[in-house]
Amino acid sequence: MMNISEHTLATLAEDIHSGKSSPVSILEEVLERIDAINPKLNAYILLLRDRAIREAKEMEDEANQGRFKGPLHGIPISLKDSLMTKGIRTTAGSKLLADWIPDKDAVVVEKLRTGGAITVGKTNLHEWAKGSSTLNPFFGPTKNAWGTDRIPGGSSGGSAAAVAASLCFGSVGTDAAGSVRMPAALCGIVGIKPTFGRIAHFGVVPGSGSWSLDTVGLLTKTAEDAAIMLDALSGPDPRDKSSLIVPPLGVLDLELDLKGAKAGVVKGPLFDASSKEVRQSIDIAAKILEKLGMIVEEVEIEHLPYASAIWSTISRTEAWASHETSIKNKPEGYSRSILTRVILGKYIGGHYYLKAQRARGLLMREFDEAIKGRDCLIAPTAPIPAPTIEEYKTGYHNVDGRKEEVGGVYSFLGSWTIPFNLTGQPTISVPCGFSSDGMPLGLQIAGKPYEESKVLAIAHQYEKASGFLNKRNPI
Amino acid sequence: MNHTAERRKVLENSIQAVKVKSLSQNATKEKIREIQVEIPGLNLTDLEVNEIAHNLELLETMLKRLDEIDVTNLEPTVVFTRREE
Repeated sequence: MMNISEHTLATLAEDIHSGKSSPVSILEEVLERIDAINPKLNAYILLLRDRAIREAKEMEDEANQGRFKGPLHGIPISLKDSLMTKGIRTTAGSKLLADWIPDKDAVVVEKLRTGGAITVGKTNLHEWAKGSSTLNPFFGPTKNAWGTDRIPGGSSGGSAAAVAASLCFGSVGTDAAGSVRMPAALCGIVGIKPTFGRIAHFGVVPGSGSWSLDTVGLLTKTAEDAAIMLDALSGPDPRDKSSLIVPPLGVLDLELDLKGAKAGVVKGPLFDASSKEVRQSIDIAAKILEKLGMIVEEVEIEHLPYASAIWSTISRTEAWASHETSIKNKPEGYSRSILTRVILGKYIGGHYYLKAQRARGLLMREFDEAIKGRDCLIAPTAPIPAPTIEEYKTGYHNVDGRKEEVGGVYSFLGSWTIPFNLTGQPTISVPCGFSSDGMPLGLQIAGKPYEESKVLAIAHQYEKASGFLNKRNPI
Repeated sequence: MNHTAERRKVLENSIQAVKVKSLSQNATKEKIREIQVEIPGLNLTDLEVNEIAHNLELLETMLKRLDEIDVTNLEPTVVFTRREE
């Protein structure tokens, strides 16, 4: 086999189906790589070595008999540790759940097993999925494969680091404020947050993420890989009512003709506040889309600068509602940084929560208007590249010499991803260049609700045209 | 400039915030006292008290920002029917 880090989920699937590679040999290479690299990155906080070897042998036996469960057959994947796994410790990155062993699997875990995927391990996350650094005080900091002095982003930082370093070939995360897309951008990989309800949410640890904002999402090396995983994991489940009202995914056609398709590039105060290199990367991305035959026009969304306040009001209220009892009974189970933020929800009040939900409707209407007559909106994924761990700890981000709050209440790092959690529309992040110090930058492509197919096609063709995937991280 | 004052200045210049609305020192102290009573054993350090005070100020700013939006003719968004687990 060639160097496994050169592979994607799609190429491995092809090799397994053609008999060129076997699930066991692929897993062996991945485990070797994990042994060598995970101590540097701390992407995994629980490795399921024996179970993975057993599953790989089963998948190999089936493959030898010409039986395949689907495109994920024999593919090593990982799970953010906020997804319940029956009989296997699930922590949500919290000391409170350090020894908790669920008695059920999340829906996505069931579907991965049915699809023949090999779960290699559980990945690190920001405590309770409530933060953007994955500097977890209980399970250690996860580091970025493009520079181990940098944060990987969060909250699905372990998943992003694992995929970026080829320690698995796809990971399942969750995204309530950008927790899939933002770490994907900071780690130079692809992250998709599908339409709210597209992937059934049952089995995500309650209290992680946010009740009305959280969506299960996927982290992969390419848009094609994301399409394969989305196809395998989407669909309704009676244990999640929101998944029942979502229309079927339909056919994913990555080679959809984009000539004459329209994109709106979101400009305005938030764009102006992003770093110069980020702004330039988006302008270049717009030109690449034009070369693909798309028509790109600038759009402004009036209340976009209010998105953080709307999101924060909803999210903090829901966090306090989830954690009030635990915080009162076991405050020592929380890090002080999470506790001093979650506690704020206590002071918001029902009328403000309702007001934020009404304002959310206004933002949805404005996004609907902006995308009307167009096929997608494009925007940066993060306003800055991955900051250093030391910089993050100061409480500020440096934006071309200007300082921005890390995230006491606001989350500057999540300011571009948060709006799409409020609207619930499908959004993907793909690599769109590098900062002058070599850190990856991300482009968001957002579609109309339920139009994942179009979003993935635009992302896939952009990826091929831009060539950014060809650059490898030093790990 | 001390750390708290610097953080306040950063916030005032932030894209995310409008002019910072100060909480009175008494209002902040009262809220922190309330937290300490409700959560026995919390034992906040001076640094953590400052952090909560800063966050309360951010919260007030955020709610003020929300007050700027006219929601008179808007219905609450009830598109999500996910059940509590």
